[in-house]
Amino acid sequence: MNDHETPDAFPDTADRVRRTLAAVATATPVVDREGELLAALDARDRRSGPDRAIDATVDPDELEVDLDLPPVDELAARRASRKRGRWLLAAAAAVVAVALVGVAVVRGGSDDGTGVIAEPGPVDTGWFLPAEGWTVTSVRTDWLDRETSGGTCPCATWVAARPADGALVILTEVTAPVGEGDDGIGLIDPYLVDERRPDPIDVGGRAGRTVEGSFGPGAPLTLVDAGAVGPDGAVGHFALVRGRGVELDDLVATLDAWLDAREAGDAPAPEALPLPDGFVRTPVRTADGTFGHAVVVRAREDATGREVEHRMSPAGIWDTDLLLSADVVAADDGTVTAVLGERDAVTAIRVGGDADVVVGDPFFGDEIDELDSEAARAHLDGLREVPTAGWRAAVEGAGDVDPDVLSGPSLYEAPLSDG
Amino acid sequence: MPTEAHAAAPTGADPDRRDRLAALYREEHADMVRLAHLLTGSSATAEDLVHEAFLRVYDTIGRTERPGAYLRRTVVNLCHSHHRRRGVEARWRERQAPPEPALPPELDETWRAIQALPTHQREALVLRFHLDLKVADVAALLGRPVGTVKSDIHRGLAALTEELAP
Repeated sequence: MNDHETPDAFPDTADRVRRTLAAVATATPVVDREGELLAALDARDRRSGPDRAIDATVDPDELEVDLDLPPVDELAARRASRKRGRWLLAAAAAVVAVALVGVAVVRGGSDDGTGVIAEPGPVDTGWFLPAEGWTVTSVRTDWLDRETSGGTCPCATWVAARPADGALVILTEVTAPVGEGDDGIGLIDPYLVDERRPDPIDVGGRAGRTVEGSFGPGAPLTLVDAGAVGPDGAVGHFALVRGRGVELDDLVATLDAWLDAREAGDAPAPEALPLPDGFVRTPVRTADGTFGHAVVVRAREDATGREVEHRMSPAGIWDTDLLLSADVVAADDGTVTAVLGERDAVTAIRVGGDADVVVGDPFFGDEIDELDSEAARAHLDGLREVPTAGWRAAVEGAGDVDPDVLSGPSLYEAPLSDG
Repeated sequence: MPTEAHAAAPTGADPDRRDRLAALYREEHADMVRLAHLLTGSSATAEDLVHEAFLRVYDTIGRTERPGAYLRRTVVNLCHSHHRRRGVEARWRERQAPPEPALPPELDETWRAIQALPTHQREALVLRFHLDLKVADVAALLGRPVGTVKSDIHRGLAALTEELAP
């Protein structure tokens, strides 16, 4: 096989694939939405001005090299300055959406724009393996992009849950130098529907906003946002808190305490944030970049031959939003476990530990044995965090393994985290 | 937040960039929707992601000489990330979408088999055989090593050969 040819081993299949893709492409319904697009641009620019940063999902340097583009000096310069903005979805005809908060981000320091600032716990690896009786059959890596889901970084995430009734609080914060905020960010959840926008709300003397809505088949959510400036007057913090099963006043109190800490120059302490009784609090997680990686492990149960996948990603940044459409089933020791119900493919997720772990991947296209919620939860509960040596011993013998997962000492270190 | 965030005066879209985006839309929109459909398996999702991609590309108009290339990469990235974000509600929405177009039986069987492939194999096959990109270009577009993409294509074709065998 070389770079230019169809693999010789399967010419008939390759031809069939070509014909099929061409037929599907030809039959794809295409709806002209030009008017809607331009209306969205007008609405967005009326709100935040026309000059915004580039799409952070595309690295201009990569674009230039990979696609043989001519130099894009201006893009590169903007990237070097680490200035990133966020587009704001504003089209009235767009798919149901909520756009909250506005701030732009200048990414500081010399980081390369990736990676989570890890706060790992006692074991420190983030490697999770199934319980006894399972054999790893493959390990692959993938990447995730918070930006495409409306997030931006530097950022922080904090989760609290009350297993007694499934109440949930997720606080997300972005940080930006004051004065650089020339743009609007949308902390957008494209799946939130039935939005309603009451009047501005007071958050400890700060101007806040609130929205109520719900996921399609899910429980109602209340969202509140507000911002504060640190004691040096140079750095702004903008936070959004989303609550399910929690009163608006309680969410405002939580957000107020968070911002009070920022104004004082302190890192918000989870135990000091006011919440109603019964909540279990995870650690606060921070990240400096929107891009990150994930490691997907497929394992076969020795006794039955059944296969299950679990995915590990750096804690707190990418998978937290999955909780919004899941039912909280447990919360203890600083972790929250939730299960996406039987409405569709079952997924169990646990956040708050040394990695966010998802069982029963919802990614379409991956054929795998079906799970019910009980089996997904059982597999998740059986996962255990292991030291580097144990991880490598279990993975090295598997049939299909991305070598990157063997060379890095943990989920948080190179080559997976780009150092 | 800082009041600056909310203080921007209403300006409206830049007329020149707006016109150039409109021209790009007319030139590329249909092809991008088709590509996104092949990558995501859903024409409804494809429409939404391509719409979002154009909103993003607007910010680069006038700053790159090849906004089409930027657009394509943005569409691929959004489709890839969509897989990661696709939760219950997204699937619920997609179930409300119109049915996918009917194909001749042989191609329909192949399309279903392609959709059942692991995402990374499917992405590689679509970019290789639909866009007719070289393997190196597929690798660059997906941000994966060339060897990995070769392996994905080979394994994808092998799996399809087995699945589609009489």
